[in-house]
Amino acid sequence: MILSKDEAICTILEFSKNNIVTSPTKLNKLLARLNLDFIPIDIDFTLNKYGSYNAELADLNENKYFKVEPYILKTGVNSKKFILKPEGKAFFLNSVKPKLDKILTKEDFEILQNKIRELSDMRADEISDNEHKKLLVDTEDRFKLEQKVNVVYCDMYDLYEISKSLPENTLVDISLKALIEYCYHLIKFIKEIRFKHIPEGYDYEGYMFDYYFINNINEIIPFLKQQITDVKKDKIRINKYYQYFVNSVSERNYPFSLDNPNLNKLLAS
Amino acid sequence: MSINNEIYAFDECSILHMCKLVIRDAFKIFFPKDFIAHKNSKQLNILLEHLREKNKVKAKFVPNENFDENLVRSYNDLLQKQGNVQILGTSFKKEILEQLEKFYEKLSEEFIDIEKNEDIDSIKIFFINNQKPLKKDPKVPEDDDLKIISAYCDYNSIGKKYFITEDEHFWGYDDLIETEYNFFVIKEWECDKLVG
Repeated sequence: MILSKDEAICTILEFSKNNIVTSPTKLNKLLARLNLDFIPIDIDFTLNKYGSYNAELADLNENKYFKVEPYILKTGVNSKKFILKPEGKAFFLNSVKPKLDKILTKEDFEILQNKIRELSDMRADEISDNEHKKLLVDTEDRFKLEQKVNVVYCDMYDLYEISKSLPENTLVDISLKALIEYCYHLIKFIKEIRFKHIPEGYDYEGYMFDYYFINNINEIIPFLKQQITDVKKDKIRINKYYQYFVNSVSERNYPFSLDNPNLNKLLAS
Repeated sequence: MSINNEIYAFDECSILHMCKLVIRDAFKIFFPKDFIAHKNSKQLNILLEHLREKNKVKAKFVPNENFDENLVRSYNDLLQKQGNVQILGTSFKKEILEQLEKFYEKLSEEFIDIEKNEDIDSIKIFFINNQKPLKKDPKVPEDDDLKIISAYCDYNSIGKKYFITEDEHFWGYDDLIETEYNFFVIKEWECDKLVG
C-alpha cells in the first residue's frame, strides 16, 4: 500500500485547517511529515538546509482535486495556496480513507488528523526545525546519529534472532516476523553501506529516507518487543509499519527495495 | 433465497487457487517464471471465465473463520516445488499472502454468499456411519466441511448445484453427497470439463 502524490496531497488538505495550505513550502513540509507517521507516500524527499524537500512540489498545478491560488504576502512576496475542491474531498473519502483504514485504527486516524491540523497552523520553518532535530540531520548531531544507528542496529539484531523461533501459523504472526526481518536487514544496509562513512559536513546529497528509516525503526523497537510477547497481536499497526518500510521507496531511488532485481547481491555484500 | 439457474459454489481454497501471483523483482531470481500459479489455476480460470461470460451464479460460503489458515495453506501449496527464496523469506511470504488476500477480496465481489449451517449433528452421524478409506485424515469431513454440505443441501435452486473443491473430504464422498445432499462435487483439476 502506498498513497499516490494526489492521494497524499488530498490527505494533507483534508486534514489542514479550512482545507487550505498557504504555501508550497508548507505543503512540502506537511507531506514530508507523513513519513514520521509511517504513511507511505509516492513522493521522494532529499535533504535541504530547511528540511525535507521535493522540487516538483513547488510547481504543482491545479487539478480536479485541488485549486492553486496565487496571492501576495504582506511582505510583498508572491506565493500560492492550495485549496481542496469538493471533488478532492470525495476522492479522499472514497479512495484514500479506505486505504488509510487498513493501516490506521480509528484512534490513530484522529491523532494524525489533529497533528496535521495543528502543524498546518504553524509556520513552515517551525515544522522543519522540529523535523531536523528529530531526525538528527544537522552537523552538530553527527555523533548522536552515529550512536543511534549503532544502537538501533544492535536492538534489531537481537529482535531478529528472537524472531527466528517465532511461529508462522497466522497472517499476523507472519506479518510481525516479516516486519522484524525487513527492518533488521534495512538498518544493517544503512549502517554498513549508506552510512558507512557519515559525512562530517552537511549532507547535501542526503536522501531523506535514510533518516526517516533510522528514526522510524528506532521508534517501533519497543512496540516490536511487546508484540513478540503479546498473545493478541496488533494486526493494523504491524501492517502499517510493514507497508511503510517496504513500500515508501522503490528501486528507482533507493537500492534497498523489493523492486530491486539485485537486492540479493546487496544483502550478500 | 432461491436461484432459477445452475449455481457454482467454490471452496475457499479453490478461489485462492485461481490467483496468478506476481513476483516482485527482488525475488524473481529464485523462480523460473515471473509469476506463480497453483497447479489447478488454469482449469479454474477457464471455468471462471466461462461463468462470467454466461452470467452464471457463483457462490462461496460464509462466515470464513478459517480464512487465515486457508491463506497459509494456499501459500504452502503454491510454493511447493516452485522456487527457493534465499533472501527475506518471511517478507516474501508476507508479500504473497497479501496478494492472495487482495485477490480474494476483489474476486469475492462477484460471488454470492451462502451462510454455513451450524446444525450438523445428523449429517455428522451419516458420514461416520458411511466412512470411506480416504488418504486424508480424519477420514470423514470436518465440522466446517459439514456446515458447507448442510448449507448447500438446504439452499434452494431449481437448476443444478455444483461444488468445486480440491478437498478429499468432499470429492472422496462425491457419490454420497450427490444422492443424499443433492449437489455435484467437482474436483478442482477437472472443473474445466464443466465448460461446454
